Amino acid sequence: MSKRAGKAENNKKLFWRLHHWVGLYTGILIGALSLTGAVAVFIPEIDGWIVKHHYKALSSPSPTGGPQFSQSIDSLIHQHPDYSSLSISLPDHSGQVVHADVILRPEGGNLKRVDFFIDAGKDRIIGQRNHQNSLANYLRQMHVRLYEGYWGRQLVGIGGLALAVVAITGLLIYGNFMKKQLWPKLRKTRDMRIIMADWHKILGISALAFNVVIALTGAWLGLQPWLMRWLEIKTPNTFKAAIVMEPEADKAMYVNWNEILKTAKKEFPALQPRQLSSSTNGSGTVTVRGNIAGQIYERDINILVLSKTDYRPIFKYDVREQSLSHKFYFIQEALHFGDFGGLMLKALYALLGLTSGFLSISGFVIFLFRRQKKKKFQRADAWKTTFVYSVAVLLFLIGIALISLFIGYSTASLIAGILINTLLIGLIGYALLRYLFRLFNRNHQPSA
Amino acid sequence: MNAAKRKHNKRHDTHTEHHLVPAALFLLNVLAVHVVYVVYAYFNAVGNQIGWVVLLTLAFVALSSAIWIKNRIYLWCSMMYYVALFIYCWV
Repeated sequence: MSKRAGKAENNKKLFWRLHHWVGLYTGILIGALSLTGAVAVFIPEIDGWIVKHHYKALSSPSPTGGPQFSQSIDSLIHQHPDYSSLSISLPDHSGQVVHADVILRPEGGNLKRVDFFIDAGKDRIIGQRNHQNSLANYLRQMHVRLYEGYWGRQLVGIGGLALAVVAITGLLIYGNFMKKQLWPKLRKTRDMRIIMADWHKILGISALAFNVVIALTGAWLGLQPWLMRWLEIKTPNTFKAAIVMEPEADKAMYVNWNEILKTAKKEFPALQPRQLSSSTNGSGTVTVRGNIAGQIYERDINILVLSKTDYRPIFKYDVREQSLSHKFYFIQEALHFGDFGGLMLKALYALLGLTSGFLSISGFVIFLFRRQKKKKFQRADAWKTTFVYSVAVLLFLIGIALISLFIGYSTASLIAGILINTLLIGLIGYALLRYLFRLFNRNHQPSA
Repeated sequence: MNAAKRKHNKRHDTHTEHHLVPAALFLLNVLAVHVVYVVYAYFNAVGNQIGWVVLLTLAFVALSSAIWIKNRIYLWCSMMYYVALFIYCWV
């Protein structure tokens, strides 16, 4: 064997080892994220359905054509003078309600985030819910931070990085494992290890680009707080208005939202307003956030800030006019969640997203069958082990969902935090002990 | 060498199987998302350009059939066609 061929062979062995070990130790995380991600792409649709059917909150046709909610917001402000934040989400389709997301900080009491539903035709509050205990919040928090508040988001980012490593190393060893096998042929055998290995290779290579994009964008989104701090990156569209009045006066100020929407249309015609928020810090501003049709960027990143007193524009952020670095920054979330091509694209994302879940399960099954050859291990045990792990993940997801919906977000988050961190410490401890044990054995083996 | 093995070897081109097909599948992933996005934009009157819908649908048909047929030249041509469209579209 030539020196070059030997080096290539060594590289392939290294890639295989990386694929094997990274996949084995992070497979469970990748599997859970794949499942939650496939559901998370449909969060707006699921939430819309729940609001409509569970809360029976619907909007009647508006006499003016546009959503009406100024009076409802004004009455909310008077009912809850202790509010610290107010954000209004406009409906995407007719018949949907306007959401007023209000954070209440009562003196001596706990912070509460309430989502009020407003009939956009009659300008009337028709219902409310605790935002944090909603299913939409569960789905998002579970996928974004595994319900672990301390470093769950970074853990998910590491999962994204691991998926990128297994996808890229998978591509590099693909040829070695396919040998004379044709894509997409499955070998005719009843050996489950070979069947799983064939599906693993074929599905892995077929959804590779998608998984690499999801992995890299997921790694960025998850590790964003750390990376931004380390690399001193600033959020591109932040704007801090000067304080011009007392916070209490700012909070109590009446805003004519119809006028705000009219001004937004005049000052920023391409903007499709989706979210409005009113300042509470004394800056006396209203922020209009929204999308520009046909653009593949994160939701609601285009901004128009208006003065509360005379509705004149103070700040405008149009992503189309920004530098490439801004565009690159804001394309990540859209590419990760696929919300730029309607329901069809979301369905495609969900389908392709589930492949990484299948790959983590099939990879684990292959690993167990391989181990079975080395150790005296019953065939049924491989399936039993896979079943136990899969059910444990499902039980975790369902259990936390039930606790979050029926007991509360903070309890669910506490339990998830304890479980995840215990599992993490156990896994790292096991890997470390295993490594030390092998090292010890190697050093104490009698030399031949 | 028996006839079946000869037939298999003739059908199995390592370069095509190990490099061109994965590359084409990679592009097909991107293209699938691209086609759905353009069709959605067309039907929602966002980017009212039927030309892009036609060109990208053609690219999709060409690339998927090239992966199926596994002809080396056809694979290269369909990949280059989509890469050219992609670059033109985004740059």
